[in-house]
Amino acid sequence: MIPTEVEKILLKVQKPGRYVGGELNSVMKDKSKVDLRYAFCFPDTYEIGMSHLGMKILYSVVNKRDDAWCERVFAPWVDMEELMREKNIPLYALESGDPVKDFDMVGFTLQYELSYSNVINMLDLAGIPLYSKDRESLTPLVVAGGPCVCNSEPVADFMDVIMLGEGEETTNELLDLLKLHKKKGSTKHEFLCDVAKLEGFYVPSFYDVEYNEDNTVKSVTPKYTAPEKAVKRVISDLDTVHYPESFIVPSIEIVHDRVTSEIFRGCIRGCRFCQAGFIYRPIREKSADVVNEQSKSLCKTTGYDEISLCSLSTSDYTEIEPLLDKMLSWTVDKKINVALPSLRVDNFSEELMQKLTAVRRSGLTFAPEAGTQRLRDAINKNVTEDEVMETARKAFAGGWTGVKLYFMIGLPTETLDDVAGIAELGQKVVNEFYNNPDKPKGKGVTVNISASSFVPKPFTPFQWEAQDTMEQLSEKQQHLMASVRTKKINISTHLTPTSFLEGVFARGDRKLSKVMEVAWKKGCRFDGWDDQFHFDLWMEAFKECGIEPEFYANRKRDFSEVLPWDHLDYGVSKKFLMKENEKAHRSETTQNCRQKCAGCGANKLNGGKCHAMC
Amino acid sequence: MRCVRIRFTKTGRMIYVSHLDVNRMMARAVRRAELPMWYTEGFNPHPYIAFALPLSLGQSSECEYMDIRIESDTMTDEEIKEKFSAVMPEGAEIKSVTAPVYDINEICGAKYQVKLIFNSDDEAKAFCEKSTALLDGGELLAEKKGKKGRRKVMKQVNLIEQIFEKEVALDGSEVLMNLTVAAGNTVNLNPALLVETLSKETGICPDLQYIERKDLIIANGVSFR
Ligand code: SF4
Repeated sequence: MIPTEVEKILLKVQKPGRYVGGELNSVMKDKSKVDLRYAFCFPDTYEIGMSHLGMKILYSVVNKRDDAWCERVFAPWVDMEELMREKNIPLYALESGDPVKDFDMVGFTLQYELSYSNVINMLDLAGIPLYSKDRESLTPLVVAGGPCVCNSEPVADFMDVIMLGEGEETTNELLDLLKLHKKKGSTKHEFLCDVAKLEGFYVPSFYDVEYNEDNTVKSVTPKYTAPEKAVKRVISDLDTVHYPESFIVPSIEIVHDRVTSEIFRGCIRGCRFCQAGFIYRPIREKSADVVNEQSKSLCKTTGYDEISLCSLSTSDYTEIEPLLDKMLSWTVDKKINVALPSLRVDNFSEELMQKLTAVRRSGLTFAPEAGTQRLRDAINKNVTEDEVMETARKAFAGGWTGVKLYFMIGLPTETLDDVAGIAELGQKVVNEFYNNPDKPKGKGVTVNISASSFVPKPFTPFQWEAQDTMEQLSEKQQHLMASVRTKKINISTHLTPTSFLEGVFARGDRKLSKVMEVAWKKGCRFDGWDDQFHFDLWMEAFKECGIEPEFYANRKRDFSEVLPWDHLDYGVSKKFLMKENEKAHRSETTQNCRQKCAGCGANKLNGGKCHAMC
Repeated sequence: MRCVRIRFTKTGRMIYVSHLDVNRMMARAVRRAELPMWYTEGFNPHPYIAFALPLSLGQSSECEYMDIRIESDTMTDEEIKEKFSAVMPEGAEIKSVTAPVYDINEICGAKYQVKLIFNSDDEAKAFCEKSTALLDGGELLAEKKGKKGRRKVMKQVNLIEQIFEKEVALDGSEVLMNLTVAAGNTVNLNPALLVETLSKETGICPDLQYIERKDLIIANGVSFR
């Protein structure tokens, strides 16, 4: 329910529908009948948070329990925040309208580094002390999860518990334990001692970090019950793990407004720049029947007319064609569109194309990632130019007139020739269109090139590499623009300061929490939004804290250096990452996991099993 | 194929959902209800759904109307109501399912109930007295966004001319107004604009306001059906 004080301001803000809850399939419970109240916080706007699959899954996991009620909280947009602060309205959860600080557990999902300042802002709006050490009572317990926590050090001081890996099981375990300790009247320390023993949990305050003179990490020492290394958790069987039967259907338009059906976790490719490709290992598939049934149920309960198959690389799903056959057998009649994002160019078969044209036609996207073969080899993006051209040819013959190509600039070992290669590849795709005898009559072609800036991430073979400086990135962006010679190609790039800050936090350590607090006090939040991003304020904050951000972003690390996230174990071994790094510098590729297991080590998390090694 | 008119409410949290979003929401409800919808012909077939008179953001309503076309002649209105009711979100309740009687374009007025809550009894009393005087006068001018050809311009309108019936009552710190005002494609008075104008003229702002649409009418004050 909406608090009256909120009602008074709702018509003064943009999109009040963001702040009211009550959507179809949202869960209401009697708060006097539950033992635990969990505020699941997404540190970005409603429209972005509600598009996120992980949140939908965990919301459903918790609300399946009779003893707990999970509610949603999003970052209020700046206009709403201003009024909330003016009227002293604390951050509240959408379902009940109750203040977040009264909840037992407050969890943040960290999807991207540039949302960290929103985490701080939300804690403050809730009236919860920012630092874990300043929160003495057991509740509200502040926790975090999501991909970014694989290096949670920059936010470690704010969090009581960090959940590593997939959350379907750990969320329940944590709630069980919290319920037990709440009943017993335990202290926070007693509770944390029990949490730290469980696999999949990291209690940052149970590790002491020491630094060397040169500011690198000297050692991270566990204490109390904490293990040497905190290990991430994986779900071993995706067919039996809980998946929602219904999604909340937002009343206002959100970013991804459709059914999302997950088909597998992990990725067989091993692209060296891609963090997701490593931190979600080992590979586990969901069977086509289960995906099909889940999709059916979701369409029925939501009324959506689009299903998106979700994974890191859809066409690598071993059962993709049977799955599409199963789905098309009922979706076509119901006029439901099946979308396949994350398609790869090299195994995009003619049959698959045929099946796709049976449903609504949308734009085609490919991600060659680098402009030359040498660089594609170095990053292990095993795609050849011939394959790109072959796919473009098929697409054009199939009637497509627009293609979007994704590239990165600032990749390790990259030269200006590699950058120019992006424009050349784009040009060849344009030419291919005009060489096609069956091209749609009277139509031109557009090739949209997105050139994002590469940011080295933890748990990838490039975790030791120096990120290009902002100057280097700008120079390369300009070189790319200058290399394009046709109006058929559009280029979009990222703001370099944004990538720089992302790079700092991606590989940062605990010293950055102070910087974040200072920057937030200066007014930084919504850093991922170009119109809200204040790079000057961030730079002031770094200066005031006596910290050089370049140390984190633009410095090449030695293999022997203790990395801030070395005490976290994501399955993939450091030795494997080193080997991959060395191969990158020799422009040597590694076969994909289905051709040959590269011995990354992640299968140990799943009892030695990995679906890619059959 | 037959045409069916559905009357539904918009209350509670649903009042913060814009007209456009309500349209999308109802299109999904139609899918969930699994009704045998009639699809438009042509390149991009879609179910036929039409709405009467949009409601402003923040206002509730007893009388929202949606027309749909269904293929089946065997499905009764009662069955449709049942199927629909089972899939509606909080704040959107199906009131009736009937065959349409009047054309949507015949709508020329709407009845509203306005509840204004003030910080004190005195403020409410002063607002009530001054407003009654203003409403009884011959002119109450307000700026309204209008169109001149394709350009957007601000124009002055006399709100009094657009009020058919009015009733203002005081109840402690609340002022209640029952209004029948012009509504439809040509002339349309949003009660929120009236409240805003009265606040400006009297210099007294309500702390909280609730506006509810009670009925739509056609010529001679007959209820739209
Ligand atoms: S265990 Fe082998 S097959 Fe599985 S992800 Fe690692 S390298 Fe690939």
